[in-house]
Amino acid sequence: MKKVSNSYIGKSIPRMESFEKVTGIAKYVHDMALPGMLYAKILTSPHAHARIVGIDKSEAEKLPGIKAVLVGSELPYKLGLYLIDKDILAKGKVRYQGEAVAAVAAESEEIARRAIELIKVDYEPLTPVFDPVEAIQEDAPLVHEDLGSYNYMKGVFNPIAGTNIANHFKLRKGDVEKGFKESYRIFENEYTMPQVNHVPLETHAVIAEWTKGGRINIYTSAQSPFAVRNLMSIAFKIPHSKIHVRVPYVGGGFGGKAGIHLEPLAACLSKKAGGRPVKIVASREEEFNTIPSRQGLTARIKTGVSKEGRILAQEIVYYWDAGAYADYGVNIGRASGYSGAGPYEIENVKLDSYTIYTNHPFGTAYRGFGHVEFFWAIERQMDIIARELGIDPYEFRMKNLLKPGSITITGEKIRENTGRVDKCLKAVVKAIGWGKQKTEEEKQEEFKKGKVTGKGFAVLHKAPAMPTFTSCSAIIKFNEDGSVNVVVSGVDYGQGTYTALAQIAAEVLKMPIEKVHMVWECDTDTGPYDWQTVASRFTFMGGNAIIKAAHDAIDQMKEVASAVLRAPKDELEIGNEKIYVKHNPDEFLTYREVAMGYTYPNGNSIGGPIIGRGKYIAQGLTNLDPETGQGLPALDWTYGAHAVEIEIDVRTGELELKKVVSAFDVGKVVNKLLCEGQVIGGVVQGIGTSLYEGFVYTPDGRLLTNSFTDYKIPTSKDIPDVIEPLFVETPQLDGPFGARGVAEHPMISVHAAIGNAIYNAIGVDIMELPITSERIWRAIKEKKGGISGQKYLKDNFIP
Amino acid sequence: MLKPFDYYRPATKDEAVELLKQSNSKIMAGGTDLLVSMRNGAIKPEVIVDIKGIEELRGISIDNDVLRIGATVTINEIIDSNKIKEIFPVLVEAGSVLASYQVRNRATVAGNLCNASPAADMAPALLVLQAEAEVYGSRGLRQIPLKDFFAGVKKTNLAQDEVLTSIKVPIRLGKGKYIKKARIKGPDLSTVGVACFKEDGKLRIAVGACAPTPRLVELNVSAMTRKEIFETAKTEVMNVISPIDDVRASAEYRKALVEIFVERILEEVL
Amino acid sequence: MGREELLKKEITVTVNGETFTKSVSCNKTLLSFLRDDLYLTGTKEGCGEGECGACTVIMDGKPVNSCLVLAVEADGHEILTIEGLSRNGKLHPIQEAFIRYQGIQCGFCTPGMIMSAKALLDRNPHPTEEEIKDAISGNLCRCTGYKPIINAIKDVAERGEKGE
Repeated sequence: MKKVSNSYIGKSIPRMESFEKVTGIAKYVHDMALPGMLYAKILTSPHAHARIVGIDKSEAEKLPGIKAVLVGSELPYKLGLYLIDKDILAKGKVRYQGEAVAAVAAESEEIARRAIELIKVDYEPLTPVFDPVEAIQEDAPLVHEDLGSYNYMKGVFNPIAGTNIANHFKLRKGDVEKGFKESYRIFENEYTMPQVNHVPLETHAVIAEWTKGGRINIYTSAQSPFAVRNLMSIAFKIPHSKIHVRVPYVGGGFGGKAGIHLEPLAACLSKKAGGRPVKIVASREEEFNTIPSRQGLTARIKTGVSKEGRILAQEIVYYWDAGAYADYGVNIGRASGYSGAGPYEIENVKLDSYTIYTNHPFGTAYRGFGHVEFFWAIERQMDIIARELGIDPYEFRMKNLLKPGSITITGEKIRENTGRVDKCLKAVVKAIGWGKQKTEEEKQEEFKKGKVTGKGFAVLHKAPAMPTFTSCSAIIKFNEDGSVNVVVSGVDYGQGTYTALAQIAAEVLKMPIEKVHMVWECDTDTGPYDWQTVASRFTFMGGNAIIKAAHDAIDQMKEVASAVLRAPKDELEIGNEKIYVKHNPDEFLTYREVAMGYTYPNGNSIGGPIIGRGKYIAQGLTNLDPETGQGLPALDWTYGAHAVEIEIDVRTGELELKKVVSAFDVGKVVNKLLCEGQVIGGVVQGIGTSLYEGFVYTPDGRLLTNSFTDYKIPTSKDIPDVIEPLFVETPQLDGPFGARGVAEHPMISVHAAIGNAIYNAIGVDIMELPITSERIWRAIKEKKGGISGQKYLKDNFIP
Repeated sequence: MLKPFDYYRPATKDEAVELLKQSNSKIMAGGTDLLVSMRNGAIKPEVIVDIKGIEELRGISIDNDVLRIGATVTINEIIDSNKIKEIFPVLVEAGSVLASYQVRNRATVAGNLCNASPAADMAPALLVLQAEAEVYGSRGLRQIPLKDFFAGVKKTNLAQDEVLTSIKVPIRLGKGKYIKKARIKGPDLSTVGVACFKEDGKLRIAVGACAPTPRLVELNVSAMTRKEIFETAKTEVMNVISPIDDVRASAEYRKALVEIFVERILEEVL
Repeated sequence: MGREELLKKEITVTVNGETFTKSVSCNKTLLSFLRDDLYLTGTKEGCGEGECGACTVIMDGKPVNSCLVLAVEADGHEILTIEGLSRNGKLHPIQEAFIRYQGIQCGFCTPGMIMSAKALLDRNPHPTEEEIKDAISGNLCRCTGYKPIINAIKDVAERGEKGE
């Protein structure tokens, strides 16, 4: 027999749906229309914090062609996954500028637009609060007066009634006071980053109909069809079986389409319009201003170290700017709590992660789930400590990084197969050529030329942040011709997971990948359950479910073959789309022969259609102790590191990224081409966060950066000359073929590597993101001597 | 989505002027600024007068030592014009950093001026070349020196029924340069744009995005040493700008950049 | 309603080789005309302000943002969209290269990106890397990091492949 073992795992196979995408055939919700469909528009709040005194919608309702006008007071529903704090439309008061206050559905977009203009809202402005640190002061205005009455996932989260604290995550390990006492030096710093938008190219879009029979049918541009169904079922008190969610192609998500967004509003508009389907497509402005973005962060870190460079104690406070709602924000605060000291072994840790309500647009999951944010602080802090101690930052990290035998801050033991952050760091440091530093003369020479180069690096880790009971399932249905349809309900919105899953299915079933069809549209009526497509968990969990489904199908086929070939099941083997007798391969049945049931020459038939079923549930996870944060939160850790080379114009502060090298311990590369694609894309998204992106507001909280004119993301001209992805493969024992996820990780810590390289180049510390050229310019200007080349600058350029 | 309006495509400039007498009418050339302003509700015209059908507003030509850029000439036509590359590379430099390739296929030089954004890239480059706007309206033809063309942020000195028909640039020997700072290297509005043109004893520097309108400084430098030119140019330029803080940069950073750019540009042209 | 009828014009446009005569509202963009009237939904809307390039089509040989062109302005002009790029079931070399290099992830920017690439190679069959970057800098992509796209375009240029 031809050896086919391992032929698909590790192979570079282009996305299976490539043809549909390059030809424009792929249909997104944006492209869809249903018969009788109405168009919806949203009226948003001009105030960051205001009481709604009254809404007059009578003029809008009179407009010909208007089928529904909705305001918050008509909707007795609250929505949420972890902390149920959000109304479908603002009720009683508005909590951020851009919040949806009313919505209409009309025969045309034009009529809907005119109706919106006719709705009159009377507001009474309230004092807003924007800074998360200020928002937890005692006299701060409350964003949610009724926090104490909200429902939430008990035993996991800890909202504090009468405050703006939506969640307080606490972690206590060892004795930090003792650790600080024993420390040779203590470093305290504050780091900040603003809110950032996901910027999927397809904005949020949904078509919903709430039929007179009480069924809700939805097409949505979402990451998690079952989460949409579940949350709607809970909010509307309708059985799950009466809600039908379908997800076709999705134009990018990055976490921003996880959970639930415009679906309930579209459904309620449809109900009011007598059951006609209603389409809502967020404008780009609404995507920035109304739909949630990434939370901002203020991080305070105090680190005690020994003279030799061992971290003895670390006290961390994360103040998350959750914005007006924190349903998702609470879990980001929690996830960033249990992993918030980075991949380091530290005996004494005290960590408090506060998810704080403010009057900003609210936050949600975004690629990295808090880790992009806090690693800016952790990895800058590590470099600052190293240089102050006179230790090479590479050596300093190597002394402190987790390795087999280490205990994490939640008490988890790191094992041989957990993954190796040290190997990732070593790989990137080598590739960037870290080592001998420039001499003072060489630096002066560079300063004279006006362009100074520098190198820096940073490490990262992340595990899926999800409930302990997170599960998923897969179905493999054989077709009449012996090919298979694989049905899963995680969504491939560009990651390439379906292709990786097809490779896994083909590998286990030992059949050509051309005969493995991934069913594209996710459908909660017919598809198997999956929790959510988030947290870089789909290849891992979905892959495991598919392996089990494939084995289930194989077992069913062997059952039939055993009877037909008159051989015990355990003497049968599969390969080349056949079930054959191990010691006599000429005795075989083809998959095709058994796919729908085997028929003997006389007409007798046995078996029946082969449908493999597989499932996977996160194994061994525990809720964390509410006082100490101890427990097992992580299914698997993916470690990584970036190293960068930059050049700075010392007069204008302009920064040029020359090279980025990134390494991840992915366990096993399932598809190199797609894996590299994830890394390159993630790194460039990380560059956006590093250098350009961040929400800017007027003093009264109006978002200024709500268009592509004012909010810039990297273009083809803004990428480094070289982006080099590297992979370390320490197999994950419970991962499919040893693989772990690597979707979010490429975006984490790019900024810190750049920040560290800036110090390496010009000796200034940037503590705030984004690192605009103005920030670098200002840092150079304000640095009062002591940095290399500063004298030259001062003498020649600085007035 | 755009509010309803009526659309006309006149074949002559007289027809255009006649159409513009209607209340709430707007001229459209490339439409790349106009449609965006209409979409976000900044302006709500009821009549659009598309001037792309007017033959005589097209094309780039040279006549009596004057370069004439028709009102419907796109930015990419400027960039691709061998004539302009040869005579005034500074216009090509400015055009090449204006918006994206797709936008440059529609956006016109005249539109860039008439939109009167303080950050318009073509304005500083044309100011240092002493360009004039040829304007046609119900009172006939008139020439407006570009330095008198802008009235404020998004405001020009054109009357409602006047059409900018062409931009005229006197041809002369000299050296020009445009430097732009934006937040990203890809398409972006300028944070600061500095243009310069040096001929004989004359030096002109214009700055964009640092005042309500693009600012021009004209110097007679024939009697100055190199050092004096640097000093005088910097002082004069800093005197005419009055930048503000906005989402793109602070006033302070803009001032610093202008000073650096003036130095860098002088290094090139002197 | 009377006024709305008045604010319509009849246009004749050639799209992907086929000529259409239709009455359109003056305020309808070319993008909306292609998507809503001709059902050519391959051309996407990402911002409606000419900043993202997802709506890029080729008009008389030149790439334009179809969200910034009125349908009435397209009267008498020739438009090529992503749907017109592959003929008789055969992919254009640029489409094939996008697949080979995986200059695709979510696919939403892909049609516009490919149209920009096509227009570039039509006017400049052997662009430098800088010219490629400049030509697609008006097409935002949030997924790929652009490198695979640039490599795909470079590869087509080097092979000197010409589509129809």
